[in-house]
Amino acid sequence: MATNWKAIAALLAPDIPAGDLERVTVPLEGLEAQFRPQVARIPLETEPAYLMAVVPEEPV
Amino acid sequence: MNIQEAAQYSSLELTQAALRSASQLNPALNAFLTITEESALGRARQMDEERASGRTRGPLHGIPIAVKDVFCTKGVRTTCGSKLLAGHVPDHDAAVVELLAAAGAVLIGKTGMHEFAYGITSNNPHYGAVRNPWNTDCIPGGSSGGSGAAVAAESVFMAMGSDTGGSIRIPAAYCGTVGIKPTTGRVSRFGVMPLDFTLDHMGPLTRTVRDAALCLQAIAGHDARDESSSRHPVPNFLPGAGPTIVGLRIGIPENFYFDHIHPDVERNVRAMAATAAQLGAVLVPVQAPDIAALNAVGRVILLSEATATMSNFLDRREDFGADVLALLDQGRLLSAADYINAQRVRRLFQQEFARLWEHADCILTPTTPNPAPLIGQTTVELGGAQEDVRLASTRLVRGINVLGLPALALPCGLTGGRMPTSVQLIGKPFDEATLFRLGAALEDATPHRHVSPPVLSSER
Repeated sequence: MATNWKAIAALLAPDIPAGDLERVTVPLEGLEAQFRPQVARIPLETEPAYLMAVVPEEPV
Repeated sequence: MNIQEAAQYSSLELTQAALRSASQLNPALNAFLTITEESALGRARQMDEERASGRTRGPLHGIPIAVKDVFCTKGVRTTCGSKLLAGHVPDHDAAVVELLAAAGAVLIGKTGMHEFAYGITSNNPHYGAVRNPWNTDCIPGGSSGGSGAAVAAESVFMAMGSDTGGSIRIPAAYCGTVGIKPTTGRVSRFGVMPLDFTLDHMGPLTRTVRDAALCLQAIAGHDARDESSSRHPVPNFLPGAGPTIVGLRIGIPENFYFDHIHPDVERNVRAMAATAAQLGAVLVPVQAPDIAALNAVGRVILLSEATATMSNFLDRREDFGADVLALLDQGRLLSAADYINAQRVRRLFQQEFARLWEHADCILTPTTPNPAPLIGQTTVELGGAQEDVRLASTRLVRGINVLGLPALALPCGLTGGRMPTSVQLIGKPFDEATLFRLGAALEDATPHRHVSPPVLSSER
């Protein structure tokens, strides 16, 4: 189901002027169409591609 | 003249010529936001005195350069192309600026850019449009547009850029220069104003491939101040004379990269591939993963991280240009789950793209599907369809930032309208040396580096 970006904008970013809304939501509609099918194929155990080192690594 | 040839001149001669060129061309090109004439001349004299006393720091000793205005420079205004940072004067140098100074380079100024490095036109609402030396009605690309214009106009031998979704390679392509986006972690990000913490890369734009190798040599290496900085060994990047590419396996994508591109771009890029084959390389047809989807992943990551980076500025909406503000607003609407899932899909693509290296040592593609658009142009016709200029310009380069791979852009001839076209060489992680070797072989075998933009004829 497609996301209602205008409704999300009204909730999360009400300061976006009505006249600017199309510039914000239309690109997201196109992006979502390409991105969502990718999410559907992520295996459960896949970790995000960023890490935090708890302590700096020692030189090898 | 390249960096090695410049060694026959004094630094003062080179720096005076660079300052003269930058000043004379800036009304036409707007490549520089700041020109540091006094400090540059003082520094050039110092470099000449050092040389006279027998001390030479290396190939960049006394060479005039510039850095994009995203790099912090101690005591020199660093705006990031924004109104919000118009008065920002850092109290420290970026790591790259420190390393270039240690190598003896002479900084003559800070180059113009797209606002906050968040766009590809360098049509800056606060500081004016940067213009392309090949046609001043055209954009130079971006976000490192001033760096591309300054190098193409031969004002400097090298200008540093930053690349989050193509921002080194796009201006290199549109301005007809060389540009290298190194592997993630190869060059320190310390002291560079961030746009996106997991996509930003720093690299030089230069006149030749060997100049790019010399400059990357000076700035590569581990820096404890940047947590993403790599301890991977830094090899000698500089290709020797007559570099051989016999047996090098060059992957030529059968999908995506040659779809919907300008016919002159395709002709010139395929001619470069044919030249590589004539030099002994082996062209290997390859199937790339779904790059359109990879680009979408990159956009979700960029929208999310850039909005997080800029969140403390978002209450000053009137101080942003309209295009950047729209992108920041888009980032506000994406969810945390979207962002994290984009980072998870990123790992899948990393694994899928890595399989290409079983068949090829590097990949050859166009850098951009089209030559430089006009300033203010919003769409470009490619393959019979209209495409957003920003999406078209980033289409072939953005995904490589998501994967963290090195990529070298170099000129491959002009269009019928005499605008530059560019070939992109994509390498294995930390294998910039192969890209430089192939790039130098192609550069040596073709006449493309010897063609100068019209703005130079009018100057001379």
